Amino acid sequence: MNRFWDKTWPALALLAAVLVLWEAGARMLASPNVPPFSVVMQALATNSGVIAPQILQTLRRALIALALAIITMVPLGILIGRIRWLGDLLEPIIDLLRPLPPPAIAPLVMLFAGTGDVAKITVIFYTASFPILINAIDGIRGTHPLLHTVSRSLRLNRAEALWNIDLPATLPVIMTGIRLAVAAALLVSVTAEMLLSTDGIGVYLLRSQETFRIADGLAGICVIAVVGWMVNAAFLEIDRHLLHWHHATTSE
Amino acid sequence: MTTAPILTVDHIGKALGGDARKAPTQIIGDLSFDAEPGEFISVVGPSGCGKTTLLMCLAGLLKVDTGSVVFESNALQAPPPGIGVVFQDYSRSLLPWRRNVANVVFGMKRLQGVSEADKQARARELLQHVGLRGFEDFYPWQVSGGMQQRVAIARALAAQSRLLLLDEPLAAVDAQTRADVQDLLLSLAAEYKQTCVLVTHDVEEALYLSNRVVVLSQRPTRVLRNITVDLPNPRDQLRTRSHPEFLRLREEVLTLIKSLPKAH
Amino acid sequence: MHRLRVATSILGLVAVWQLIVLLKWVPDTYFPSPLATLQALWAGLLSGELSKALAQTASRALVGCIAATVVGIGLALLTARYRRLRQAFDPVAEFLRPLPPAALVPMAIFFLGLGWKLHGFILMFACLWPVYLNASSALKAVASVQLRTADSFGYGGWDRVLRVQLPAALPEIFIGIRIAASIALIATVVTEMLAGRDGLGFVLNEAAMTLRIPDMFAALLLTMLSGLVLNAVVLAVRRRAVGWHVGMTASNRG
Repeated sequence: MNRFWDKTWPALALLAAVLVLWEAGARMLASPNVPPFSVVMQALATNSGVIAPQILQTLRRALIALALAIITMVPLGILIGRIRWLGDLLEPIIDLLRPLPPPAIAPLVMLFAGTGDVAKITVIFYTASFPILINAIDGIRGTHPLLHTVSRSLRLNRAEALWNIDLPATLPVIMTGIRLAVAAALLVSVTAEMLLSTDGIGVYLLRSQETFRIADGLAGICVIAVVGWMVNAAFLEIDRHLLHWHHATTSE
Repeated sequence: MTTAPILTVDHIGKALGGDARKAPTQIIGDLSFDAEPGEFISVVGPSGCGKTTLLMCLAGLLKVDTGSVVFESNALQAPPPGIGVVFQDYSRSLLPWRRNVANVVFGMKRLQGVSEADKQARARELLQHVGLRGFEDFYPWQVSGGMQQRVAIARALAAQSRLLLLDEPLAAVDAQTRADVQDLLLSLAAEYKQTCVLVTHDVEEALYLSNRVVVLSQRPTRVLRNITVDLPNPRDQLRTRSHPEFLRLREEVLTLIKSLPKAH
Repeated sequence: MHRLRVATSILGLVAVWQLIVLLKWVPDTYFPSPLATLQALWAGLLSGELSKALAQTASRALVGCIAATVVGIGLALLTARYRRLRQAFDPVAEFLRPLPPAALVPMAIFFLGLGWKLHGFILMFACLWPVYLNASSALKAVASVQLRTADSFGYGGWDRVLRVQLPAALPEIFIGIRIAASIALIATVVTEMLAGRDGLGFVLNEAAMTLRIPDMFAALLLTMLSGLVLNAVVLAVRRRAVGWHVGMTASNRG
């Protein structure tokens, strides 16, 4: 407990200092453009009924897109990593598309899919796909050659070897990709809502801007930060549970 | 002996690890010995007896809990000028972004009033001295393990230290290279009248190199016996190792270590 | 051999693209042929609309990336030197990192207007965290042997941070810089789309709204190209800065 406290107090002190400065600074400025922290928290309390369903919409879409990306990209990555000609064919295209900023495809997606759920989920799916795909390819290629020998000496057929040896051995790398995808999906789901606006927390932010409700908008940003942090933390916890054997062997 | 010791280890104790749930482990318990100027001392002991911890304490890299380490009549608080260390993990103790020359220059930080050009020249000289002529401008990772260890030795000498601490410097090289570097160490120690403290698990190496062998007990470590090695100089890989006195000492030390109860 | 394969698969991609258009799987008003896209690209570059947008977007992303790199590494060096500072700052950085830069745009407009200040703020916010967090953890992870070596030869304080920890951490710091470079382009384009008056993101949006679809595809192509160039620039700088590491990993493998 003492050690925990010793490591934590500097961050809490910094946080407190920032909040106090914000509050005091805003009160001294007394400008409607700079609401103090307490006013933002009041806005958060009064708007929580509006914000909660919006952020749930955002999370729902992010989750669907993420699930789709995992279901499709992990097998695709394994195929590309295992089958040489497929890798030769597709990898240059992946490398070419990777630097394309995901939001830039939003207008293109809009032409085909409008601005509804499908369009937004498509953009998020596109974003989340790359880290998963690339890590799956690298992971399956990076499995230790010894494991290959093991599966041969056990006389496993290709499917058995894939399921029993390759996939578990690749899992840590794939999980890293999924962790990156989770973060990216959260970022882009808000962005996609702002570009293809119908609902979600991104739209809430836009509306707050259009109606000059700055405190409400800042409250929305606070909510996004907290939710994003919680989702990432939750995923790290899942990762720890799923890969306890990996962390046990790699920690010093 | 009449000269004052260069290093006095005075009843030191050291515990490591431990947190809220676990008590720290006593690694070193009440350990004392001296080193006279010009001596080559080897410290041997059963595996896991805290040899490396002891060396870190001697170098000032770890603070002792009790007792004191006195170097040139000053109690150590931090790594002092005048003590050079050759680490066990030599491949990582050399800085991979510096070429061999620059790695040796790195050791000269505490030299006063030497120009950068002089440092370069001296570093090249030292590298040639340890047998690395032609490899001065290679990166450490481009040369073999034995050569890397020579660079590390040259770097330690470059600091013009009056006491050289060596932490199992030859544990990870092949037998031939080990013999070569052992002879290099002997000739350098003789030439520079360098005081050396070597930590090793290899009893033969300890006897071959030293004037004195300090045998340690298992944890918590203390000194079991000080053994003076009275073998003819210069040493020779073949003749020294088959010398009757060498064989007698070897048996004495090995028997002593073997008689200890096993740790865990 | 590698180049040949890359060329083949890219040609294949263009061929599939052409085929989709020829077979009219999708309405060609929404999906112009490769040739029509190239024509639009050429015309846009000549007229200056696209070339100006490209220059604006690329220079914004580049400047933002450089600024974030300098600030991020500087901060990381400070927190590497002073432990308490790191303990204070790292959790805050971890907390702010998942915040989408786009989410800040609407509110930031109030404080910063629509000009370069807005772009600068959003870019800095987007790119700082990957650089800082990577640098901070890399500086923290420097092997203890190297730190002890530094100690034993008398390198303490800033000497140790700058002459041992920074060079040792630099290869990993570049991972953060590469991430920051790709994020810089994303953040630039998003800001241009949401609050821009110029740049590729703005052109992209406007072309889509006015149904000048070949122009939109041309802008998309240029955005992709800037991404590739930006990545190549970072890799080139990396080769210069940490060539030793590239050589070392290659010699370890060989």
